[in-house]
Amino acid sequence: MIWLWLETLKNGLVQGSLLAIMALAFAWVYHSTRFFHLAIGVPFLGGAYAAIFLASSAVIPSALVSFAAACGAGLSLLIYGLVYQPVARRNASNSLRLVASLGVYFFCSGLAAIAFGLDIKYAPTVIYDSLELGRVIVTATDIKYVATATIVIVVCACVHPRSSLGSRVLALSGNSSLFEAFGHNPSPIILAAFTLSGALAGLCGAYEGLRNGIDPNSGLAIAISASVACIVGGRSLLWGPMLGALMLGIIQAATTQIFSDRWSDSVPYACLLLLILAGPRGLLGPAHPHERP
Amino acid sequence: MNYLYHLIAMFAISGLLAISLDLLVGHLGLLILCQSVFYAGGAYAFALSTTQWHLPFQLGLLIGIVVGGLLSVPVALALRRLRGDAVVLASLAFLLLFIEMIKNLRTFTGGLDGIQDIPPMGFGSLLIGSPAGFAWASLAFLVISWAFLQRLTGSSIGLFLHALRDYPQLSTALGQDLTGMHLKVFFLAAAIAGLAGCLYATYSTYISPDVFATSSSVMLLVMVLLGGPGSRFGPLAGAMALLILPESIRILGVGNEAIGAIHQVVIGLVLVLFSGLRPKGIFRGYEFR
Amino acid sequence: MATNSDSTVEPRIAVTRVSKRLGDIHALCQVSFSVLPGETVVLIGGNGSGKTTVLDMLSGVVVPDCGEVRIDGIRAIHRVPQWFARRGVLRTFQSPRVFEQMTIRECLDMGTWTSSIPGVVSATVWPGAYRNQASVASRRSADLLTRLGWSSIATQKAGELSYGQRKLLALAQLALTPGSFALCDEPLAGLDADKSALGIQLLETWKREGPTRVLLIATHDLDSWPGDATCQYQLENGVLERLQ
Repeated sequence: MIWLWLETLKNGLVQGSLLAIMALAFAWVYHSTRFFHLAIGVPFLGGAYAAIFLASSAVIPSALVSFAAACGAGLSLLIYGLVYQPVARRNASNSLRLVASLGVYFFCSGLAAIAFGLDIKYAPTVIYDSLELGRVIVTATDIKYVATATIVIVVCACVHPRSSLGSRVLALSGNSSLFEAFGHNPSPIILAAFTLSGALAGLCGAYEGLRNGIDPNSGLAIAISASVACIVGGRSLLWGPMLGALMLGIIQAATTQIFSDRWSDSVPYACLLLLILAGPRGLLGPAHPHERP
Repeated sequence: MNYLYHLIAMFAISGLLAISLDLLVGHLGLLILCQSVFYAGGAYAFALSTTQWHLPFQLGLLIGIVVGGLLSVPVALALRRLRGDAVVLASLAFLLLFIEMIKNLRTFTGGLDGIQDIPPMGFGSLLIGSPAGFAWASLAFLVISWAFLQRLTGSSIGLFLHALRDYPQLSTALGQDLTGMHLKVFFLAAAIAGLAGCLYATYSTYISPDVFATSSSVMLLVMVLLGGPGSRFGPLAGAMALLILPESIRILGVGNEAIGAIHQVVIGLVLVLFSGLRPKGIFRGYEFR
Repeated sequence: MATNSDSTVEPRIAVTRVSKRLGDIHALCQVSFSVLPGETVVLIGGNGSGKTTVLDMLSGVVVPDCGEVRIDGIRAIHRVPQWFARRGVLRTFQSPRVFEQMTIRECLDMGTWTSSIPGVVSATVWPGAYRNQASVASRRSADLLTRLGWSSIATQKAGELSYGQRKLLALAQLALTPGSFALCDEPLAGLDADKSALGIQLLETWKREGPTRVLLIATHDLDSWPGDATCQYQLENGVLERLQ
């Protein structure tokens, strides 16, 4: 019995690390631009496919993961340059930006389906080393994953409070017009946010691809989970999204135990709906009462 | 020739979906992504009534339409209080949640396997089993619904809908309480989508969650945006455009899977171009900001 | 002259010790007044005196910090604007708001239709009742168009009108709408003598059509409202004083 709980705990920890980093990735873009970045699934998918295809050649794991992160960052910047910038320049409302991000996601996942097929792609060389703690099997990938996630979080935690980037992003999220009125230029900050977000998403994608395989339609669900975790966390760039990811993970685990694991996929969607309906009018909408909705 | 009838049938069903969605997108100005919820609801209700409860076709049709319409009630109530991107997101959340429910409520919906052997169209002893018969019957449904909606939006109701869409505060200041109308219009749009669902179910005799996946709902929105939201023929033009596309690719000998993927790519592209360039569509329609 | 001594008649609007702060400014300070059925009340105050805030409060746009507001005896705080619409509260704004993209004719038509917003089914299927309603409505709009001298421009878009014409159209929209309370913010400001006279006529005709209807005019000085007035209040820096 206790091994079942430990197994659940282990799975929860690994899954939770994934969600936490994705939530961070979403948060950086969301707070700096108020852009509901559903297209974060794209760097995620990019990192996953990159990792899977590189795993066949004899590339050392850290280089593999770095390359996946770089792919993610690159894709994210492309999305910024080709989609977000033009749409923002034409003063689109938030709903149109959301539609644009959804469009980007479908465009890219469609391309991925054409290029790689609709079936789940697995990494060709499955990493078999694993530890056995009693009856719980912990694979090397699991360990590497949690370790990387921890390192990322620790680095962010050390750098962030003192970082000018973090505080500037939060200032932007508070009131972007005021930010510009004070003479600050938001563009490099947004650029940095997109790069970081893409890198983190690519990293997550790489690990998810190596662990569970990837198919072109996995990007939307994780984007929504990440968005829920970020929103629950409020206006924060580190602890908020992580707390949100933790809460979402707990709710999902509880749902799996109480009902069955079939229903765990619906938890993020139900949470998103509840968040939108329960929140005050301004939860998702104009950041400032006088801004355009 | 049968292929032509198949196209007509598919056009009729897509057309019904497009004009019903246009009521919400073009005339109420809401970017709704959950039209498939009403479509699927109608289809499953019809399928259940005719396969499990063995009800006659007309009754199943009625049930499908009503269930589709009723599904709009929670959505309309929820969306009434929302503004901006919250509307789009909430509708997306409704859609994704509903698809999960279809997949998981296995006793009702057959889960991932879906429902099979749905009986063909028949009014009493008059069976419309042939492709030609179904094509004309479904086209008739489309024409009647289109005419009805045109009449509706051309009347004073259309004025109030546009007032609600473009000048909500002024409308309230002039004593117009349009909450009831909002709900009724939603119900109507959902009921017509439910009708389309019944037609689809009886035509293909098999429904499963894959049919109503996210991309199909988004595709409906693209149809309306492409054709011109709120215009007379816009949604129909959009439906035709998005129907001809995969068919024309099919002629080139591409397989079904690739067609689905290409469809997705085109949908994504249209959405991005639409939000960037904001064209008014083939038939100049309502402009979103 | 209104006699508030008749205590058996319930006031249609009852504002009791209402205060409202907007940022650092005390927009309203312990404001109290009531309006009996059939009265015309003029609220006089300069810019920034708080008179628009009073109208905002009576139409649900603004929630007072403290105090009580009752419309027809029912508590009217923390209600959505649609609730006020349902109770018959109509309002015009200082800068005229019209349905820009609709024709003048359509703007007026909507007013006549508001009382009985046609059912979805009847509007399409067109049974006899709807047809009668439709002809009555179009007659009213046509009459008003003639009175305003706009019959020739009935199909012009409302947004293309001049400032004065828009102001008049806003009043005309209200005048055709059945309701119980008309709250007008500077209704005649910017109108020349002819249009002013028409504007007063429109509002007073509207009021006469319902014996218990209430007209509340917010204006910057006494001379700006030459029409009838049952009582006058002066609002200065958020403090209300009864003049007459």
